[in-house]
Amino acid sequence: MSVALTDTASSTDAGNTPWASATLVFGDTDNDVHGASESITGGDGIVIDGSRPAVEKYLERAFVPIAALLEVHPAPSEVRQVPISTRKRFQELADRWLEESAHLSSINKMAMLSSYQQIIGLGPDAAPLILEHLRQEPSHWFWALQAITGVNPVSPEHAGRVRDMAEDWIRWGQEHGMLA
Amino acid sequence: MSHLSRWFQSLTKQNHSITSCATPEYNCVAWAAWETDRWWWPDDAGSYYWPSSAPREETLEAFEVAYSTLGYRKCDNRDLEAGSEKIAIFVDASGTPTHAARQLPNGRWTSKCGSLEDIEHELEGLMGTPYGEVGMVLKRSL
Repeated sequence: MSVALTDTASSTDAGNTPWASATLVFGDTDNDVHGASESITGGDGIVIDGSRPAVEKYLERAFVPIAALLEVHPAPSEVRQVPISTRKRFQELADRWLEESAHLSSINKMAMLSSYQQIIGLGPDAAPLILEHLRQEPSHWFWALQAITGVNPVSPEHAGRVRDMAEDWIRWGQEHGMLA
Repeated sequence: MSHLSRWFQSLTKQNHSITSCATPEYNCVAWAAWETDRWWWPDDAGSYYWPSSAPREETLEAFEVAYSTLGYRKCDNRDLEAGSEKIAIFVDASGTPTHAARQLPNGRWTSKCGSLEDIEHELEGLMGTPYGEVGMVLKRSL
């Protein structure tokens, strides 16, 4: 059996786990590794013995981030597409809402404004537009996102911390094909 | 005349000055409590910060409990008192809290206006539309 893994990526994922960077060739028996010394140093500096179980365990751990990354960030063609007319309408309503709500402290009052309610009324198409807006400029879009999607991905310790709340939502949007 | 007069008709050049940049990261309720890194509000969805011991509702009583967690107690006047710090809670015509302002040592007040700027102002500068009137004053010893 010959397994060649040539991963040239040297960047790190969000969890800061470096990719393995080695070419390994398994021999005919389960415990032989040809082309490698008795011990192997992975891309993250971890030294393992050359046995097949140890190598497989290492690779499994090292390459999980790649799989997770592919799952979290959909290809551009998989990101939800929004009609231009909806995008234009959203922008008009968002501009109006930002102007009308700027002086308010009450989240309930902000959410009850007609412009905000109309944005919620745009339905699922509004979610990626709100998330894009949120990524550019954090603001109080969380009620609308929760109303449209039916979820609240904000961790309790981020309650009220607008930038952290925005980051929680943006991450959720990327995981669910709403943001590239 | 600052741009804030678009929202607050009682603000004049003489009764206020802008003291910060605009930001959506904290509001008047947080600013009155000396916080600048989170937005305080008892919103229905429960997404925003509110002291856990206070009722999550838009009532003067809930605001009184919220500020009591920081040592403020109800008082009967808004006069400057040596050794005390006061917070004025504004309410609209239906008695719903709309705004909070904190008294400064010079007797004027400081407010964060929604997602807009902080201002130093006379209390009267924010009375009327849209914040309403002062519905309760709280104070704590310094």
